[in-house]
Amino acid sequence: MEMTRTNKQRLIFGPIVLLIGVVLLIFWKNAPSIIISGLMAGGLASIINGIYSHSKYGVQAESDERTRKISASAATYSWFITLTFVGVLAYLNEFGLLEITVKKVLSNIILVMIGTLILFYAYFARKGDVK
Amino acid sequence: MKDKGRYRLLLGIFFLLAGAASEIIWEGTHSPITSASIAVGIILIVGTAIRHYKYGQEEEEKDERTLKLAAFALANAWLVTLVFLLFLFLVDYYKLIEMTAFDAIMFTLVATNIAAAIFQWHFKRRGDVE
Repeated sequence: MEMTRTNKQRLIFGPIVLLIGVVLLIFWKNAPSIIISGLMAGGLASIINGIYSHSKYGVQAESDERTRKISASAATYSWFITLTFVGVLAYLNEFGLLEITVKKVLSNIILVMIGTLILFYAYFARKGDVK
Repeated sequence: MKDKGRYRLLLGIFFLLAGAASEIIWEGTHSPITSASIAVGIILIVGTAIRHYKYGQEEEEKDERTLKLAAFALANAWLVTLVFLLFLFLVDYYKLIEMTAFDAIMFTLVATNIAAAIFQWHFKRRGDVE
C-alpha cells in the first residue's frame, strides 16, 4: 500500500508506545500513573494522527504555502488573545476577584490557547485566505 | 509629525498626567491602576518619539513580507509558550518550585513576550522565514 514515510512512522511507533504503556500497566505494580497515561495518550495520538492523515491526504503533500500561511495567522491571532487573557487573569488575581490555583491558571491558559487556535484555523480555512 | 503620532503623543501625556495627578492628589491611591496609567503614558510617549525619529514623515515599512515575518515569529512564539506552559505544569506537579498563581501568570507573560521579541528579531535579521 502506498503510504508516506511520516505516516508509516506514525503507524509503527504509535502501537509500540501504546504497547509499552499497557505492558507497564500490567507488570509494574504501583507505577506512577502520569508515565503510563502519557505513554498511552502519546501512542493513541500517533495512531489516530497517522490514520487520519493517510485517509485524508494519502500520498499527497499535507501542507503547502497556503495552509502554512493560514496556520501562522491563526497562531498569531491566538497569541494575541492569549496575551490579553493572561493580562486579564493577572488583574483579576491582583484585585482578589478570582482565587485560583496554579494548576487551574495553567490549564485555563492552555485551554484558551488551543481553543482559539482551532477556532481561528477553522475560520481562515473556511474563508480560504487570511485577508 | 503625522496625525497618528500626534494623537498617540497627546494620549500618552494624558495618561501620564492622569496617573501622576491621582497619585499626588488623593493620598493612598497608590494602586496597580495608577502605576499602569503612568507606564502606559511613558510607553506611548517613548514609542511615538522612537517611531518619529526612525521613520519621520515617511510611511512605516509594512508590506506582505514584513507581515509574513511578524506572523511566523508570533506563531513560533505561540509554540514556545505552549511548551513553556507544559513545562511549568510539570514543575508544579512535582513541586520543584513553590509558586503562587500570580507567579505562574507572570512567568507566562514574561516568557511569551521574550519569545515573541527574540523570534521577531531573528526573522527580521534573516529577512525570510524559510
